[in-house]
Amino acid sequence: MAAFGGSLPVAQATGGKEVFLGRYGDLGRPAALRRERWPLGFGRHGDPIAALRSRLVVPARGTVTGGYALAVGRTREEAAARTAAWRSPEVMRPVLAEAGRGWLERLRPVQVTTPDPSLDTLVNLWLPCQMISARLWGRCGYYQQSGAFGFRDQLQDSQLWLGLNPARCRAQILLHAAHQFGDGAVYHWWHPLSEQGHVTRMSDDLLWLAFVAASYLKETNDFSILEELVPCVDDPHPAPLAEHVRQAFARVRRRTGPRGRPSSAPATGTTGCRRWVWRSGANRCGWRSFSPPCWPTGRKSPGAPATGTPDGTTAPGGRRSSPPSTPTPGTASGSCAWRDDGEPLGSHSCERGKIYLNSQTWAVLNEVTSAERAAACMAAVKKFLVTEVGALLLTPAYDRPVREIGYITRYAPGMRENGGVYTHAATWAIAAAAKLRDAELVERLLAAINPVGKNPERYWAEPHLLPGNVDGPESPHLGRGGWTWYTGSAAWLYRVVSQWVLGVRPKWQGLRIDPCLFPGWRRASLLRPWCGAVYRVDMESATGAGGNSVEGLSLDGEPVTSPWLPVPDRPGATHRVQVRLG
Amino acid sequence: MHLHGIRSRWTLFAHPGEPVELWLVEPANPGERERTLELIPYLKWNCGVAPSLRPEFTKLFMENDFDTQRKIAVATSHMWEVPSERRGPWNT
Repeated sequence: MAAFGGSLPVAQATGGKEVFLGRYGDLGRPAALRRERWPLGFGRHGDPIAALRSRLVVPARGTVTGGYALAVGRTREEAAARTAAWRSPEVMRPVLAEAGRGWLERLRPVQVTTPDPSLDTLVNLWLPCQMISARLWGRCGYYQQSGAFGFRDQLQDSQLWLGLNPARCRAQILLHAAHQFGDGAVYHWWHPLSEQGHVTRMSDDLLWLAFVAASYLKETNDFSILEELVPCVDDPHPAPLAEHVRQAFARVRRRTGPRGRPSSAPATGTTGCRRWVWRSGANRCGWRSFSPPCWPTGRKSPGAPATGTPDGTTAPGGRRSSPPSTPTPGTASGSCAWRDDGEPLGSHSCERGKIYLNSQTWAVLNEVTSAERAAACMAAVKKFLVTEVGALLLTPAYDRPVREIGYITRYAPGMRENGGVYTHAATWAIAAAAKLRDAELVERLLAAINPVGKNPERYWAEPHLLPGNVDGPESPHLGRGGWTWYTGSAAWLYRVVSQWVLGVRPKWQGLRIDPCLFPGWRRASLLRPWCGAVYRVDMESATGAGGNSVEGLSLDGEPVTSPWLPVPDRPGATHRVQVRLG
Repeated sequence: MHLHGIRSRWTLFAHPGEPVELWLVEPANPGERERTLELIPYLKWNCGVAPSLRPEFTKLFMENDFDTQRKIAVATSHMWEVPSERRGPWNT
């Protein structure tokens, strides 16, 4: 049951849409405003609305406040009683203050201070607010309303909790593990109330369990999670989380393409559409032979045996043994893949889609290529993909649907994954630039997608939220933002700023301090918890040249020679870290 | 919003612990003469999966009423769009 009521005296009410709007009427000129008496319009035979009519006198230079409450309850009485209890402004105002305090309290554990106040506001307030409200709790936004959990989506998103409240990330990992099948397959998404879901063969879904579990372990040092017993969807006998992770890798290893690398498996969905790793968007590729040059999971995780591949690239969960030697037809950087029909994808020989951003940046981030080729990868990004509005996902955009590539080609040229800035991938480009210590590129890429201060006539979208995409140069609306609220890219930007720009990254070896500050920044600081202790990291650059490496590091006043801080021995303690940059 | 000499503010938020959405509506009169207004909140009931994909169909199952004592509008739907083991599909 639902109920709606207000604090002002109600003179009349109606429950019928036709009564209120009138025949041919609309909300701009509802008939009810011109009627003295409203028919009731309640019952079971109309189009149900609620409209409450109150008359009020507002004195000169005065204000009148009305409170309204919209509540649900198991019964009519429960819903109506709840509405009656909360509809008064006097009761409401303390709740509003409490809600505001709740957000500040929730976000307080991680705070950055940089010379750029817009970046501070985004990281300290709006990006986590966007993630928690739209992605993790509401799971809906203007462009997508579902309420379902996406296996990879909310698992990725939950990494936002690692600094704020790691127990919530732990709970999310275990929840997703319980939505894995015994053979390692997972739901692509499922609804939490009905437990109905969609099973796919997408190769990236299931591996996010390992990726996020690894992030949790590096952040908390809480290895007990691996022993946590979780059932599978089709097997009520619980198994340790480590076994769930092993099953995911085992399933991926059972599928290798003719080139010997784990195949980026597509899936047969309800539409019959086979899908590849969606972040690259080439969803029709991968059925037989798509072997991406690198993978998002390039680290060794506990429980996953090392597995080499013929050309030395990293199998998911395995260790790379040497840089790849397989010649690729390639772009300027040489990164390329193949379509099912044998045609190259992301090659200079292609008419469209000559270069893809993820191929370049993942190669850098996962260290699956030589230093020379890594530099070439990012040089190609700068030359072909970096624009004033951000790094494009691919270029040139596809100008017509291409069945062999997939759904991204059905977007208009320059929009979303078809030659637009896809911010999810654009944040990874910032991380890749930071890894190569290209501070100017880091600043340029971040400034391009920072929503604060954009010209609203061109940008269209909210100034405080990260959009999912921004139109690229092949769109007539270059720089137009879209798909705000419901995008996991906000969590990635949050992570990229703290872990790559400010450079404070939990690693297996310890807490890595490796900032790549913008040129011109002389200082920045970060407050964040790690392994149960609190760290305040202050960094100073004598020259402000940007991107300079660490010259001096101290922990609580004691010099540290290792690039990693050790796991704290006293949970709850506050540590002071000072970083001197060259 | 500033319209016809009235500045109005609408603050909409969720209660942190209760299943209730709260609105504060504050019309202000910056002028020198008293103003008499009608304030009419309006909403369309959904009572199901949001957004409703088939509102012309789902409305056939809805029922609404007015609690005249407490001046509260109430509504419910007698159909469900998400099947469950307990209730089965919508046309069970």
